[in-house]
Amino acid sequence: MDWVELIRASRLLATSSDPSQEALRRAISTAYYAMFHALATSNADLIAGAKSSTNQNEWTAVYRSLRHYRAENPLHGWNRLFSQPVQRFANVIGSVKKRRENADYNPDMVFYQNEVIVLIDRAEHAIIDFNAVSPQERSMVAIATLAGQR
Amino acid sequence: MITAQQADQAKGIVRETLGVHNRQSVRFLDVLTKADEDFDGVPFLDVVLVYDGEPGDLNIGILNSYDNHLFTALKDAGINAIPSVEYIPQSDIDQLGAPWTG
Repeated sequence: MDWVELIRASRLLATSSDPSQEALRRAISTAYYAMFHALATSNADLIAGAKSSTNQNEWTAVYRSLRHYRAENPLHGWNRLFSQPVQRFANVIGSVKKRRENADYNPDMVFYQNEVIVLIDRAEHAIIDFNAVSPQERSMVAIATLAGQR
Repeated sequence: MITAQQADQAKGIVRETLGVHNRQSVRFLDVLTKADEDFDGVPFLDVVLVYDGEPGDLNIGILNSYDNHLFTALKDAGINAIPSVEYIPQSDIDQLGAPWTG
């Protein structure tokens, strides 16, 4: 899945005139998935190599092995090992994941259009910064987020 | 999960660090904090920053960097929680009410 398109879809939901609470909830959830799939893509590209007809099965296996609870927690645990953009990514995906849990499951929560717009901008900014990190460091991120058990 | 007392202590840390690490062209008017955890049981500190302005007034790069500074400051104070910071304009609070009190 293309994180750029997920961010675009999220923004479409959030920036319509007078969006419903449901639209804002889906926008938050989609912004989280943009970050999650950006990380899954980075992991797969670096562990299996860029996706091609010869490595499709391996690439998809790595892509699908990322778990939600592994997407940011290990990066916090090893925060001295990682650069600022990776730490920012970890903090932002953690924050967005938390909002996404409320957006998807907490019926009592109220969401504000302007707040959601900022959240989407933050997610996009964090992904762009993360993707600019060296392949070597993102390989370490892949190992940290894919290896081990909960 | 961190305690309510730690969440209250964290409010002071947020106020102290805002002026140093989250300098924006908007004014921050209020800080709300609440202890929470995610579905995996990871401790979180929910933070709401109420500001005077529009979303386009915020520098997103600084906002994202601020999370790192706040995470470190909380850890240094013995508060082991990931900050989840929301930025809500005062005008939205006036219209819809605060998201929660704490």
